[in-house]
Amino acid sequence: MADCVLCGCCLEGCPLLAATGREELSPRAKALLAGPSKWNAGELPETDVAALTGLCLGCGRCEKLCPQGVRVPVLMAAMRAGHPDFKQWLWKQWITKLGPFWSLAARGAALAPEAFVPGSLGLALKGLKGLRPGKGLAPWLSITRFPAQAFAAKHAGRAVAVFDGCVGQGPRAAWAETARFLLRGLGAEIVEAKFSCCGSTLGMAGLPEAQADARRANIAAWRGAGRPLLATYCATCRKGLAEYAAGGIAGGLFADEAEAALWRAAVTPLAALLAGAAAKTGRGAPAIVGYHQPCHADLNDGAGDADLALLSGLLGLRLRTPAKGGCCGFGGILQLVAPELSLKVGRGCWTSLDGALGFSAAPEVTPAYVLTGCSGCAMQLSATAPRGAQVGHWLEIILRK
Amino acid sequence: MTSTSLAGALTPAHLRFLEDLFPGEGLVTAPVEMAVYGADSSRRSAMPWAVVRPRSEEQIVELLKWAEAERVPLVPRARGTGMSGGAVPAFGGIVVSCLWLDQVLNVDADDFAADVEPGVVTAEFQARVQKQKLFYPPDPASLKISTLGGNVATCAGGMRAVKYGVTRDYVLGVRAVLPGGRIVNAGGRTHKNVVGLDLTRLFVGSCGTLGLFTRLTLKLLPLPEGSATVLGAFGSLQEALAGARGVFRAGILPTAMEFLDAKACWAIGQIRDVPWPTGANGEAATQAVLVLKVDGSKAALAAELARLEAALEPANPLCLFKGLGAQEEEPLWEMRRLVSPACFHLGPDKLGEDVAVPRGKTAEAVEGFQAIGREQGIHVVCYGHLGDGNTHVNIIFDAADPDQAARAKACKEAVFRLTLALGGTLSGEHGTGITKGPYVSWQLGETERALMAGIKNVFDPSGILNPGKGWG
Repeated sequence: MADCVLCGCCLEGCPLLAATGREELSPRAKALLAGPSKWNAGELPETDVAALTGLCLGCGRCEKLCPQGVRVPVLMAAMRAGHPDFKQWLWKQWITKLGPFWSLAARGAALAPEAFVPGSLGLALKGLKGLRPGKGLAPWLSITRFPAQAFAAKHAGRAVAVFDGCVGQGPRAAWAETARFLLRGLGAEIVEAKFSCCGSTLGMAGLPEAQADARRANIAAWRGAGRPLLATYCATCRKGLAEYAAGGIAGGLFADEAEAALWRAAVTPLAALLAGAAAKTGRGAPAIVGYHQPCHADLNDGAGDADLALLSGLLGLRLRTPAKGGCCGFGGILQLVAPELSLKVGRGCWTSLDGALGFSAAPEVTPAYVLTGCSGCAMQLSATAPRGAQVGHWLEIILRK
Repeated sequence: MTSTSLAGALTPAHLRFLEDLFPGEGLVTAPVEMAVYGADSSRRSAMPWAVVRPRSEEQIVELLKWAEAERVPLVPRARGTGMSGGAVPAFGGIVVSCLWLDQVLNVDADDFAADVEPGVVTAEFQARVQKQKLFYPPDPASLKISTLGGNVATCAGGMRAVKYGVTRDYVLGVRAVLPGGRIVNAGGRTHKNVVGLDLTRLFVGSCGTLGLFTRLTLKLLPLPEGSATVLGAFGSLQEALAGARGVFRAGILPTAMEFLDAKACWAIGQIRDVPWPTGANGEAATQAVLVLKVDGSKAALAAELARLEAALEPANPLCLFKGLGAQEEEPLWEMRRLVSPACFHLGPDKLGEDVAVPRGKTAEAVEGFQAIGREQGIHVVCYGHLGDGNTHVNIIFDAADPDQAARAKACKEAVFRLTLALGGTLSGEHGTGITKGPYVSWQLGETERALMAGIKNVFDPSGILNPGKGWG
């Protein structure tokens, strides 16, 4: 990997530095300590280095800014992988054990008295409570026109599988149902496949074997379904899936370059398939709707954030996006390792949302109403939301009929 | 400078004092957390004795009373993006991070002035005043990542200097705390002020050696309505420089006039697609690029662009790209901003010099610098602020090879000698810090250095502020 030259270009984007003013949490500090840099601090205790550098949101903003191609989140994941007693066990419990029981876990979380919750799990459980089954935004948007012709022209004869991810498979089964409703509207041939976790968070948590297992399972399921298009409605899942093929066949996941290329072309945001749709708002539509852009939104390697483009088209002037959208602070395992840092970044995010939406001026009149396109962001925003705020995935506002 | 009696390390009693004054996260003593505070973009580093993060001026006053009494060196720091090691505690001491002093205190559209704390990020301040149709012109390449405090401490320059001047031209006042806890209010909020000596200017560019800033009063201008950019590629350096002369002779004062030499163009081509001819398809390869910006009223800009084009035409540009408005201009400027990191594609190590010569001597200087590189067999990349005579000379080498390292040093010294022979200065905007400190005496005479030492002594009699970053 390329070497950090300490130029500091990354400082512009780091949500953790912006929220805390603590330079030791900046990507440059982490590259200095953990990177291959010959300017690194050398003789420092490895466990201390691992603990400090582990305080990373994994949002990836620094890698987009780095002129040298240094990837701090990847360095961090390698660091965690090298330290088995690091707190990643917590996240492994979270993803691998709770995974199949998410809805159950969420119900339990809603009942658990705060006092019994271990400190570091508090915020995570609060997020889960926000996502407990049955609770979600009330829908108010009817799709009046599906871009079926455009879809057919571009993807004629290609089946579509929906990649639901951990949240869509669990506490938010409604997302999965709406996604399929929308695909039917497009006239798509839907195939079902049994997918696992996308593996993003497992990798971040320093669990490369678990990540590789999840990836192999997903590719097997995709092959089994006849290599269909893979529609995702979670920005982090999309990024995670796209990375399978980032190294071509070097990662050992694909049979050959052709299959890797097929995968690359197959992974697509659900919103991109819906580009050009029209809608009308029904009763209960809020006057102002905020959009929180996930850090993992596809900004560089595609036509921009497909979720934002779709929502702008459907909601028009009703939709507001902060000029300088902040990271929500979910950050994979940061929420478990250092919940207070995660919370601080989350507060900054709500401040910038408030700047665009102005809900704090009169919360009774225009309460905060925020949509996003990422499971992690939806969880974190629910956990950190001001009183009375409503947060959800954009799929929740769509009427199915 | 009196630095013989400084403390050599922190005692347990010192640490207890710091814990009381900077509770919680305000004090950092773990080496892993301190490491980054010992480094900056000069790629030099040294481990601080401790790091403190004041939230208030009161804490800074107490800190400076104590540090003076105990003779403990202090090294002020903001984002650590300086290029000459000014923020590196190379001679020991406590690093004082001002990132928690990050408030814009006021912006007044009638006074055309603003008060800020030192930790405000420059680009964020510019965006903030822009909402009130105001303009803070200094634009060091690091503006998105560096702070106003750091910019003032180094008198940061930038691309707009040719028309708007540098940081010092926009500092109306400085409030600083001196060793012993004395508070100085230099200058004020008026745009003119001739009462007494100009203490404000002494602080600007002083590299944290005179006092710790707690508040800066900055001058603002009305925001120009728009801007336009032209990027031209040339088949020779001489043609590019002739083009630049043509622009001034036509009576145009551009906001920025930047140039890239052949090696800079090549290096950028290694990390991005470039718009200019590279010679890859048998065409004449680009040997130099000029990037010019003009600003003003929207109505006048289209005409200005046409004038620029006409002024450049006699110099036979290989191609010209024009951009009107920020969105069209941005990709052209992106090329210029990438050059510094792109240079690492020529070699793993670099000496980044930023000499300046009288404007009429630029051609002679750049040709001379390139010849020095050829003589020593080392990559010398020249680019920068052609309009104001400030040239970035990047000497690229591999430090692992002792012979290359020696030749790189010889290059640097030859560049300095040529610069001084042409009536120039060793540093136009980076400051001398630790990387150029040893060469200051090549430029400044004994009388000047004695005067500076005397001034330093008045502000900081024990020499506790950023020791070793002087003019000895």
